[in-house]
Amino acid sequence: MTPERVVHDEHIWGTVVTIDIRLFRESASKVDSAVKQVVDWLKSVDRTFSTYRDDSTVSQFRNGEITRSEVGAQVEEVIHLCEQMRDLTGGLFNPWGVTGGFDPSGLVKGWATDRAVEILQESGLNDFMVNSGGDLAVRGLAKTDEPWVIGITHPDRPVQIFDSVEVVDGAVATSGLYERGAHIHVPDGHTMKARSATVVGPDCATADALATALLIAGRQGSEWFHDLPQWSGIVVEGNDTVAWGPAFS
Amino acid sequence: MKRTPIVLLSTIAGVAGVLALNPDGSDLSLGASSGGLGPISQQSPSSSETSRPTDTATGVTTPRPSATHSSTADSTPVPSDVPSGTPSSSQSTARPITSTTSSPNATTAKPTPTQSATHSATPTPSSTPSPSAINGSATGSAYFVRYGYVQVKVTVSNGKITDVQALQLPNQDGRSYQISQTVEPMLRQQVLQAQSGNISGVSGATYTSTGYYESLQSALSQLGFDS
Repeated sequence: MTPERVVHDEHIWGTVVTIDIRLFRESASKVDSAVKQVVDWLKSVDRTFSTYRDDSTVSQFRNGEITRSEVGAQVEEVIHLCEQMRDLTGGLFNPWGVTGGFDPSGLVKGWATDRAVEILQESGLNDFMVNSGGDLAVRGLAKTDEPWVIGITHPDRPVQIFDSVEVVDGAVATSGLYERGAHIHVPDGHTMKARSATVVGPDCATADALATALLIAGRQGSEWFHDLPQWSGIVVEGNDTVAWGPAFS
Repeated sequence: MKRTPIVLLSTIAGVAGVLALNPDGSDLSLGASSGGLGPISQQSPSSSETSRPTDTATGVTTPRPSATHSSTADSTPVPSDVPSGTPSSSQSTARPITSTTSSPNATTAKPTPTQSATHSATPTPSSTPSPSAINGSATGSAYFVRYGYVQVKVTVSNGKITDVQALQLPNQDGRSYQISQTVEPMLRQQVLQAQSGNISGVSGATYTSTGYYESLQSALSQLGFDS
C-alpha cells in the first residue's frame, strides 16, 4: 500500500527541517532518493554557512581569513542576496550589523529551503512542504483539492496558532521575539517594534529577510512593504495585528 | 524558481478569536497566569466571511485593521528599488492593500489554475468518505521535539473530534512548563474548534506545535480519520 505521506525530520542547523511529501497523486518511488538529496544539501549548507563551525566558509569570511572573491559561488550568491535585501528593507535587514561580523543566517535558512524545494521538484515531486524551523515553502497541494494550511504561531506561545493562511505554491516565514539577539541586528535609531512578523510570498529567502525587517519596522513597515507585489504580511505589535496583502484579506 | 504564490484564503480562527467567542471559558483566559500579554485584539469584524466556510469561530476572528500609510516617524526607511531576482521583479498581479472596510475578494488578485479546485475544497475531515461512521479514541505516536516528547490522545465521535488530550508535553524548563500548564488547554480548544485536520504546517516557533500536530495526525490516522 502506498503511503499518502512521507515525513522526514532532519535535525540540523540548530533546528528541525521537516520534509513533508504528499503522495495522493503519485507513487512513493521517487521519495527516498529525493529526501536523501535534500538531506545531503542541508548538510552541505551547514558545512558552508554555519557560523558555529570555525571551518565553514562563512566563518572564514567573517573572520577575515578569506576575502569575498574567495568564498565561492554559493556564498557569493547569498552575500549578493543579503545586499539586495538590505537595500530593499532600507537597512532593517542587515547581516553586516550582527555582532561578530557578517552573519547571513537570517537569510540562509530560507535560501537553502528554496533550493531544497528545487531538488524535490527536480526529483519529480509535486506536492510537498519543506519547513525549516518555522520558515517554510510549499508546492502543490496538501491533499486532493486542498491547499496547504499554514498556521502562524502566537508570538508569546509557540504552541498556539493565532492565524493561518492557505498556500499552494509559496513560502511563509515568521520572525519573533524568540529570535531576538539571534542573527538579528537592530540598526541604530530603531527599536524592535513588533512582537512577531510573518510574511507570505513566492520564495523563502526573501520571506526570511522580509520577516526580520518587518519585526523591526512593525506597522510602519507598510510604507515599503505594501509596494512589494506578491507579498503579504502580518505583524503583531502590542496586542494589535496589522496585515497587508491578499493572503490576509 | 520564483513561482507566484497562490495564497487563497485565510481560514482558521486563532485561539484568541476562539477565546473571544468563549465567554464562559474562563479557564482559557489568556495571560492570567502565564505572565504573558493578553490576547491579540480583534480590531475588525471579518470582511471575508465567505472565505471561511467551515470554521464556526471565524465570525470575529479576522484581525485586519488597515495599515495606515501616514508617516508617523522619520526613522522608517524608504527602500530603494526592488532588486532583480526578488519576487517583486515579476510583477504580474495587483495586490490590493488590505483594508478593514474593503471588499473581501482579495483572491481575485491571484487567479490560478488550481484556485477553483482548492477554493471548493473543504479543509476539514469531512472530505473523507464517511467520517460520521468513525468513533473511538487513539493515541498518537510520541514525537520528540526540542524540549521533549509530545504525544496526544484524540477522541472522535460520529466523525467529530470531541477531545484531544496531551499525554506527554515537554516540562523541562519554564517555558515548556508554561506550555504544558497554560497553553495546552487552549491549544486543545483550538484544535477542537478547527477540527485540526486542516493545519498542514506551522510557521513560527514550531518545535512543540509540530510535534503536537504530528501526534494528533498519527492518532487520527489510526482511527482511519483524516489520514
